[in-house]
Amino acid sequence: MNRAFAFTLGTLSAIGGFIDIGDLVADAQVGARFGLRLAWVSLFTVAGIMCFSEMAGRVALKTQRPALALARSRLGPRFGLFGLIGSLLVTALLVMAELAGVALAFQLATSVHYLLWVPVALALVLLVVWKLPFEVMERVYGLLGLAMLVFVVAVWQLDPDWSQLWSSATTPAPTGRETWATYLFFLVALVGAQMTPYEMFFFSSGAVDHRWRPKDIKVMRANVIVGFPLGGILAVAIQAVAFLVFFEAGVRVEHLSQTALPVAVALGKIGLVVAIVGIFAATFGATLETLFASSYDTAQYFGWSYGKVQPPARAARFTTVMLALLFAAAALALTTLDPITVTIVAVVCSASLLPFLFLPVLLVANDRELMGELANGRLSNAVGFATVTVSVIVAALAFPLLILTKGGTV
Amino acid sequence: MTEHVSVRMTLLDAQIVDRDRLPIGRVDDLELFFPPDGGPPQIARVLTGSQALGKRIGGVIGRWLTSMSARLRRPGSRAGPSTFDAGLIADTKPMVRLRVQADELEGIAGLERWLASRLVERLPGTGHADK
Repeated sequence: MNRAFAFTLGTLSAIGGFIDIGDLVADAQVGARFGLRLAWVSLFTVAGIMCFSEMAGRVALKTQRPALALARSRLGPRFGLFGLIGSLLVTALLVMAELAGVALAFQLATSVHYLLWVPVALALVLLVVWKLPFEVMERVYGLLGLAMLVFVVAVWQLDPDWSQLWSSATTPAPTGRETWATYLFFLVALVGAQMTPYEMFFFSSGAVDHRWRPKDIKVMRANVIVGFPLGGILAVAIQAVAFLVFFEAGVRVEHLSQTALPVAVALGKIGLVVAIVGIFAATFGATLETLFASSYDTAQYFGWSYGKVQPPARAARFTTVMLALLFAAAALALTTLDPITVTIVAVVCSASLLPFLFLPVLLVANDRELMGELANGRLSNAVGFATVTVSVIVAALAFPLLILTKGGTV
Repeated sequence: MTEHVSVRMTLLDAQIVDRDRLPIGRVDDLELFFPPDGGPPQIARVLTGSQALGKRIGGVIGRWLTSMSARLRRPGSRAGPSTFDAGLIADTKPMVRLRVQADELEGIAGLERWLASRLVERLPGTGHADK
């Protein structure tokens, strides 16, 4: 395997997985309302998702099977079915939001209403799923996604008062005009947006599809170490530019164009074009990831054949699930439901599922009989256990806060 | 008793693949055979498919899964969950591998074949045309 290109799986996981419609919306909203006062959350989410992706990747290297597929033999069919049904429902919402994100990127570029672009986005997804090999797919969107780095450049270009940014980042409390309830609600939303479980599934299923073996453990770890922190930096950069442009004016982010606006302010038209390319790549990559991850998930639970490695007709049930999800999501997008609202609801629901998806991976990675010398060490277990504990608290808070704050609108 | 426990840990819920390692389904349940002389129980047949799985899950969702799966199966097939003879198992580690190809199993993965011939192969760009 070409070592240079081996990195792209990680880059895609970072750009298309870590940064997706959820972050483009939640990070920009958080930046505009709270400045960098929730930036510390990214330290936790990056550490957590790195830990679990590495664990899932290690299970895939050792057993050539994704972690969640093994979990059913350990936890029985009921636990797995609960997580599966939950994640299918959340994924349908997420795919809808990502598709709408692709359409909104087209709208930003052309000024034609996004609903007209939804069918185009759908056709594009179908074409790519059907015709592009897995590796080409992840390379193209991984590389295009690097355009998102324009948000980091924009932070410098806006010439901020660095001490003001620092003092905001080191104040873990709501600003004067916000309540603790909305602060905690956006904390949950950030966790859901940044620690999306499909990153982990996609990463480990990708490792299986790539036929990685235990000797590839360094490449796998390099992907985790480079990819996810990069995603975390991008997330904080989106918060920072929204803070610098919107906070003083008290502007609330209610449209995806507002996520890109600070880049236009900082870098002009060229910057805006690069940002639109980045947003397109991130949402398009995430559409593919969410779609594949949940179809993989379903197929593995029932033991069906799956994957880009099998021709569609040899994995008919897998292909049918994927098409059904995609068309349901496109239909949902065309109902004119506000994609921003759907995104926030989807990331909060996703946060409430985290413990059900993390726990099985933690158990499988600790199974010495299965994992041998690649079983979890102390570091993985310490970070993993802490992540599960926090995710249980976050999950318990998710729905009460969603209702209490009316989705963060109060 | 020890055999029973180990079967539950090693066989139940395991992935089933055919001779060519094509995934077929999971070991959703097992049919045991108790020898008349009172010897230890042996595995007679392996149950696979959502009809058998639904019975193990139980509750509303389990019943729904079982009845959906039973209805989807072809009218010609005999009632009850789809099964195959335990003698077809060639290997159980790391997953259950059969001696035969998936296509040789009567009534197993019927939905897969039905969807392949009625839906997926008919879509442009799939199936035998260009693969």
